[in-house]
Amino acid sequence: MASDKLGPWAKLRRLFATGWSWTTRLAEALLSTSWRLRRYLVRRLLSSLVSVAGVVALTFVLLHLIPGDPVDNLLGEDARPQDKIELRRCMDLDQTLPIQFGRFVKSIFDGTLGYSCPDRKLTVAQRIKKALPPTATLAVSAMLVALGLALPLGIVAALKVRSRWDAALTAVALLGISMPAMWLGPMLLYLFYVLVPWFPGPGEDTGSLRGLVLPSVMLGTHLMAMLARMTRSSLLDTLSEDYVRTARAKGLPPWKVVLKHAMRNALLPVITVAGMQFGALLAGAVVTEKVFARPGLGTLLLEAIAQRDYRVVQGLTLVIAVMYVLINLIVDVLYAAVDPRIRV
Amino acid sequence: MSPSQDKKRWSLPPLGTAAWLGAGLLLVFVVIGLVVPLLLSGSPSAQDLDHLLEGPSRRHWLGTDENGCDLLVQMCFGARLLLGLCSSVVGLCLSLGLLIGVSAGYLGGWLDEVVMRVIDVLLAFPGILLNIAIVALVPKAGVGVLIFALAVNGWVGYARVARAQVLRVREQEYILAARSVGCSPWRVMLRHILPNIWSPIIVQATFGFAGVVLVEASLSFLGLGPPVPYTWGALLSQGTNFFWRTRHLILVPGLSIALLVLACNLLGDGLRDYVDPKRKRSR
Repeated sequence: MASDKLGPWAKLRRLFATGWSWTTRLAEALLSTSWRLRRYLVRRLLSSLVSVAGVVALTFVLLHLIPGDPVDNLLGEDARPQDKIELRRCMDLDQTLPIQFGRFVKSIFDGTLGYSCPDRKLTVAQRIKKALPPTATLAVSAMLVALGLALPLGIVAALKVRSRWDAALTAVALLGISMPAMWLGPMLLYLFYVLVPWFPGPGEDTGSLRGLVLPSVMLGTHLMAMLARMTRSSLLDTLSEDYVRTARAKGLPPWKVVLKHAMRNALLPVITVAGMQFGALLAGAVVTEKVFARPGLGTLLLEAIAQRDYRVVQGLTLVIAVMYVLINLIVDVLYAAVDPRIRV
Repeated sequence: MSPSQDKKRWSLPPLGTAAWLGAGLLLVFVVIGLVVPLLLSGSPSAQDLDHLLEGPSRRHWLGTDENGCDLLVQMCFGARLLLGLCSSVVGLCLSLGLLIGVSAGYLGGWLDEVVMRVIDVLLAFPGILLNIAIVALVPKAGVGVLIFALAVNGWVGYARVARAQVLRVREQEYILAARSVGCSPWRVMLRHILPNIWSPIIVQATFGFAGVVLVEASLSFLGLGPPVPYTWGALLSQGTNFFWRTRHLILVPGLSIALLVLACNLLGDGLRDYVDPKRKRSR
């Protein structure tokens, strides 16, 4: 490969150039398209904004729905009154509700998400930023596991419909959907750590690639089963389309018909669902991180819950929900750019 | 449709072997949860301190946990708790979702708009995140709080299905006929729309039950479930802590959760194919 001889800078420049060309191509596609697409995009953007506003309001309300006094919950009934006042001030509980809401919104816009009380050492945003990369890595690799297994399985099942392969896939998908992740994880650990020590155990080597395998499988299995089912039914639908018959009639080799003509359209709903489920992976990482004792957002959430650190729980809920809304927005925009039927 | 007519035509629907298997399995779990705890003499918290973390034996058929509590007794009481909790959640979500979805779909207008926005916001919290947040923020969360936390966003699925179904039947002749003879909106919704949109909602509830079982088990696994040590999720969590010493404590609760969810999914698949045969043909 020629790219092996390139220096790191050249590689980076090339990567950047590729990324840039894709971005401009996408922007071009979006800008040059009809006013209908633009109207769709604006509407989609506005509805996302409404969702984000609702999420902000709901996460604020959440903290104020707690029965009893959060300060008493944190410090206990018989804490020193001085500490109570201090904590109350730190949590803004001495202010009226509108001011509290205003400060909460301000803490979102200045990017701090507030401080953990009573010690004001780190902002919530800093703690989340530190915990985000491991969870993002885990979620992405779980997504890769899910897609990497689901697509071939779904394709084989759809091509050999009503065969033994198909029946096997249906069974595997059903098992995958019914398998509770918190059981799959410990079983994987037992099989591949205790019985055959191929992979590191909980808490060991969490940064390495080998340490990522079992957690990704645990997190990705449910999604894999869902996507395999979808790939199969979606591909079955497209295989009966006229243009696939035409492609076959032209004498194209079968693999070309399937991969180039049928799969292109069959993939769209699968990719959409995969994108929509990415947020579920972030939430599901809580259980995975507990089983494998990995650092990340889930571990941070459980820590915050144990310490009754309300601000961190609030901030994490907000961040994950907003990320989820953004991912869905991006998926929808891409979808609209790729599929001309949406623009109508 | 009067009940007597219903009874005359009643026969087992042709659901297929897999679905009946699921239904049977579900029945077994219901029996385990409802009947067996009444027959057992032991208490789930009775300790046998000479037998800690032991595998199955004649004395303890499924073995014991770290405190020497009999796993079989715990599992049965856990089944009762789990089934009761999940049925309440599904029942609550079903009623709420139907009420909201049918009225939003039929009445339309600003109500529909508001409901759809609320649904959008609730759907913005992926997976179990909102449930965790609610349970975590409430100190000493009991079963009631848990049901509330699960129902907060649980009704959304039912409301969406109900709304879509209402939009489908709203303009059909029999609804127009009912309206033109002067039925009130509530009467139209209850007597004319509801009986005609049931089937997909029942299917949804079957899958929904499986979903609630998984979420409840996850919450208990994280230590955020009902405040008793014998929920299936809590037992599984204990098993995870001791998995290098004993296997039965992961196998029994894990397999039970998986089988219960599998049973719901089998039944749900069968019901869906029965309700919507077109889907089956295309598969």
